[in-house]
Amino acid sequence: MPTNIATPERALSWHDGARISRIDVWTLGTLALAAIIMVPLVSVVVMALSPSDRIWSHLVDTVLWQYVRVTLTLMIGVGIGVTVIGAGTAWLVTMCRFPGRGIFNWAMLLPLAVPAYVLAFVVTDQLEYAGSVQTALRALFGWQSRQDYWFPEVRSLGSAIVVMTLVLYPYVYLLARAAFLEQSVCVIEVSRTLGRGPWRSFFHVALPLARPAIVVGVTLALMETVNDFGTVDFFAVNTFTAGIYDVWLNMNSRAGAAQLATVLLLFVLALIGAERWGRRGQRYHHTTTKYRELPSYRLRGGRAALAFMACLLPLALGFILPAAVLANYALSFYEETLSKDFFVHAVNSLTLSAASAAIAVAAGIFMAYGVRLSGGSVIRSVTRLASVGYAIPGAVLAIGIVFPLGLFDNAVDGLSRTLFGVPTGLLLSGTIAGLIYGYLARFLALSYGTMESSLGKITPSMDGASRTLGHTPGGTLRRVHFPLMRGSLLTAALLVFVDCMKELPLTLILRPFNYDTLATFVYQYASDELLEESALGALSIVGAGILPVIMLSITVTRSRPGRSEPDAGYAA
Amino acid sequence: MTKSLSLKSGILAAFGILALSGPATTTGAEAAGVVNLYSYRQPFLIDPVLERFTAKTGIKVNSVYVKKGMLEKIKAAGANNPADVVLTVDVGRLDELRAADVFDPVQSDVLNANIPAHLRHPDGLWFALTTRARVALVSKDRVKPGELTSIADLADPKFKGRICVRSGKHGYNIALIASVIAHDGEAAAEKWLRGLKANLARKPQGNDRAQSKAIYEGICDVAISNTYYMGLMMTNDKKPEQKQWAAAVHLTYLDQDNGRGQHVNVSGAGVLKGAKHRAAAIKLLEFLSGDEAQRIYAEHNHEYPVKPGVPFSQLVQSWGSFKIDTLSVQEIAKYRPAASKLVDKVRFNDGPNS
Amino acid sequence: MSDLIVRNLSHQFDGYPVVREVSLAVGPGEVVCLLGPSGCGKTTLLRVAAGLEKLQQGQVLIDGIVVADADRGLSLPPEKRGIGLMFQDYALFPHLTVRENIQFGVGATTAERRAWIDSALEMMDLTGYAGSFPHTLSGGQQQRVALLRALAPNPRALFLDEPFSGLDVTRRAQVRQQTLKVLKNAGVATLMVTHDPEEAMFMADRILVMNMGRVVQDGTPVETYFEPADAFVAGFFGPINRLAGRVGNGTVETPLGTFSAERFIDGTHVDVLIRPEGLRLIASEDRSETRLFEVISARPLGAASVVNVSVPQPNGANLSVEARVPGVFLPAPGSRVSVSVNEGDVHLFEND
Repeated sequence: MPTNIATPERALSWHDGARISRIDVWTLGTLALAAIIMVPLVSVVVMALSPSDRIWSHLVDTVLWQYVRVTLTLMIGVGIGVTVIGAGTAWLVTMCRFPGRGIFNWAMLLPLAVPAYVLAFVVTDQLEYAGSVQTALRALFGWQSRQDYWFPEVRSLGSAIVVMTLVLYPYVYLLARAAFLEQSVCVIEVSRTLGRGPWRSFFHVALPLARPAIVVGVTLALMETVNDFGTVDFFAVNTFTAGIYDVWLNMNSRAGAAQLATVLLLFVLALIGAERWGRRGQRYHHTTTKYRELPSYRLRGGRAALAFMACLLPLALGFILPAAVLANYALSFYEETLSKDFFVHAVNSLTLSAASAAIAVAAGIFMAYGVRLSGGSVIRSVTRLASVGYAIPGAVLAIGIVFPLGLFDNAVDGLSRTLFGVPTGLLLSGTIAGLIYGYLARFLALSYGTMESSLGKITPSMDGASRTLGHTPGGTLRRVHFPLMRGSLLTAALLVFVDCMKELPLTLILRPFNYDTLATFVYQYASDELLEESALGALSIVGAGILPVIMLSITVTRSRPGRSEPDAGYAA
Repeated sequence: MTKSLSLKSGILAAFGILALSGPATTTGAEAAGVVNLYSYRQPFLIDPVLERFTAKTGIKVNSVYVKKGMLEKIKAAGANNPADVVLTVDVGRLDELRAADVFDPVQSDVLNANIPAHLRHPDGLWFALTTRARVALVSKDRVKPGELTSIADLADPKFKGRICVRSGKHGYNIALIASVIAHDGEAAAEKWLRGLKANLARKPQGNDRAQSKAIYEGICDVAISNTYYMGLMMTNDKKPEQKQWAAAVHLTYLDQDNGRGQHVNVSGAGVLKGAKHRAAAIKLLEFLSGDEAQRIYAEHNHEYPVKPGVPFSQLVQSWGSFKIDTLSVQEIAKYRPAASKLVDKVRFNDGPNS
Repeated sequence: MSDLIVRNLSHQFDGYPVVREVSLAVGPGEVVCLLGPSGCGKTTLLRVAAGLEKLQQGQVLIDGIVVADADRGLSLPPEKRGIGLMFQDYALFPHLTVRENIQFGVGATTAERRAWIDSALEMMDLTGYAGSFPHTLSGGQQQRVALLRALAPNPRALFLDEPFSGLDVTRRAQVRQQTLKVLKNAGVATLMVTHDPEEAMFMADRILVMNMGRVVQDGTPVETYFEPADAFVAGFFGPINRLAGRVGNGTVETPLGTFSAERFIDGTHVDVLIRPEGLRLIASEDRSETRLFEVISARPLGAASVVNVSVPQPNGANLSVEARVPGVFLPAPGSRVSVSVNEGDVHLFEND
């Protein structure tokens, strides 16, 4: 070893920022960002503080418990559905070999691209009296009219559960599959030597280890379920959110609606808190650095057929069916909607969604990293709180934004008038920036949750190694975490993109004049159950979501550590 | 690292898009004239008249279709509110905006001439532009003429299991129930509503057209619907099955002869306080109440124009003339919250047998 | 050449004190081991000195410069301290090759640096692996890469956190040797944490034995082994036999012999600690020998044998005493052996 070692490159001095700990910049930044994102939530709670003249006594006397009961039933139904379908198919696709597996791998995510109300319409369309199913039944059995046979009520809670499950299971599928791909094979092998066959290994080892990921997926699905209005309205199901809108728009009580929304929020927080408390003390870091190719159970005959059907059914009902029906309508009705405006709407949708996805991901990684650096439980709770916006019904969140933005704009305008004599007018209200702010408040859960769980898989020693090797926290993020998290960054971006394409209530309320996205354009027809006329638009929303969804799937598959390619690394 | 590069360029692109997306509002007067509009009505319903307006006057109309949260948007923007005009459907909305004190009184001879007095606010705060009746559609085969003549008949046990209606919470039904409360008082209205609920063939669901469809399919014999949907169904070449639905029913105006008159609702408009383009806004309202626009409303949407002398569409004329319930729109609006609470109390939306 | 000084460092987690007022100094080129059981605070001390935990109380100086001072609220972030740290789990970056890992902390890779890395790789038998990814390497290879990575930027102080605990035993000796050679070559002040006393003995120029957050003894390996400061230190270096006795006439009597106890006042109760290798055993059936004990078990370890004998205590109970005898010496259980004790391996501590 050469002994003429050069003198160290950096000389220590006071000017190296010894006083201001760099970590504080990240902490402050994260808290500031979280605070900004929480403004709509806080504003809803503030609205809830106004009196709501006897709304509550009325509700308690009449429909409140029904709202609660129906909402809980819906949540339980959807929760079970998405877990079984999402985790089950993820396991099949990851661990077993059967015909069609290669396609199902990415195809299972496709229902993500379908707006729930579209599926609701299609399902109802096919199942109702004049629809294909009942018509076929009548032809088969010779029934003449409605009185001759019994058919379950199509517009019901059951249908709502089915539709929401089909549209939302991809969240669980995505996260469960990533978790299964990540698992060290040694853990599974240990389980088998201890006498647990493949099924029991799944239930007792693989599934529990994947629990944090699955829970994130189920939480996202349930939050979407809870804040949905279009689908439950279509199915004439009276949920808590339906009640919120009713109180707001029919009883003209904004305060009452805000109070109900706050209750909903607290409930969601309690759920999340309960789950985390149940998981306290458990660690999910990878304990072994040994990775081998995952074993695969080769399925034959009956089992292979079952696996095939198990994957095909949700895919067919959740994607193929609505896409086919939409395509059919689009062909018949395209003249109504294929105008030059259509392309403008499409471009609006794409650019808006892409920009929002980029911003949401940037915010998510910044905050997740800030939490990691500071390690305090306060900052962790605050950032989690900020991502709860996902659970609030979109229109309510939009109102929560409209007021603070208005205050801000008017304040700036007033200041500008007094200081410079120049009015600034509305700066953020009714602009794209205001709309993206709304999206950020709504979708932070998606990006932050993905980043948080992905960062959590990188052992803290890596941070320490990089820091001691001379890199600042920001440099570490750039050179160590980013490459390792490429997969989950992309995942978060794609999830937000697809959701923005479908987003409706925030967009309707916050957008500028003369600005339509594909979703708002479709809405003017869909709100009157005239989906046929807007089928082309709806199909475009679905179509625009397909490519990101496929990309999503590919990034997750590639992300398994232990592969000998250069992009091996931890991911979502 | 490529990922951080692409992330950075992504963010830059995002801001670029923001910068290019243009100003939020059109501030200040522009040469050709501009008016900013918030609308409760779907674009495909009002675009035809708005395009005619622009073609005729050269004033560009910037619009946003906002169903929920319109009032909040207006209030939050305060003095900087960008909108000049609001176009609504349903009296409740008009009244809500009036009660929130966002309308500016308009004194216009043209408007006063075009719109009958009982269809505009006495101080010129809002103006109705069209009316629509909420009528009964009865099965041609299974309901004899004269069997159903009034709102009260809907609660008659002879119609048990034969009535279809959309959600009790929908604005049109709320207005109907509010008018019942206004006329008969809350206790009687509750009794009536319970009676109607017992007569339902199924849980309230779907839109107005779906109710006609249900009659066609034999699920029920009576439906409640707005008149213009009949018009739309009967002229729907794209979806010929809707013509069949319309053909299966007979449109019946309620509470005629010695009754109080058919319940109607309105769509209307008003100019907002602090409107930056007040002159253009008034021009728009005047246009919308004028012959050309009123005719478009009648022909295109099968609504009832408010301007006296503007003919109804052929189709609407074929349904005959009818007597209108002259209860003021204001009164109906007053009872909307009570109507909504009544729907909850009676658990109307749970359907029959519940 | 730089050194590392820690003054009066204390640290607590959630109000629970983990490190209590520890001071130490590592001279240029010196290897100092923090030795102690789990939870004694050694790793925490290391992390605080490295700047990975916020300094709560005390001072840390590297190369004479104060890098952290709790009283003045100063704390230089780790990336500015010019230190190297090797983690127990190595924390190699999976997305970088071996060479890229090693170069990670080096700013501009000059030709001179590349040459250094090449020769270092050669010295560690890693030349062919420069372009490989960490997960393809064995544990020992990963450990060496992690060490080189920490050394490549020429740190002023090096911190090693249980660097060998992830290796299998047969490897460990060889890797330790290589590591020590590298460290001495680099001449950098090294603070190492370990719970393995043999490791500490081998690697360290000085050992700091820690227990419950405090440094209990600071001395050379020989000092700590042969002159333990207290019963804890004595007992830490391996199994040790404990007998009780009372000082009388400047000596203490035990069933295994009488030992000098001049340091103590007569009448003091003392613990008599005897190292297993200090017991010499001779198989004997000669009943005239007064110190004959019954063999409980005898097992070979290769270079030595472990023999347990039964020693009757004054209170009537039998104590199992372990002796470590060179070579193969496996008397049959039940047979008798005579035991004599090397006084140098006997340590007396007051029993309070």
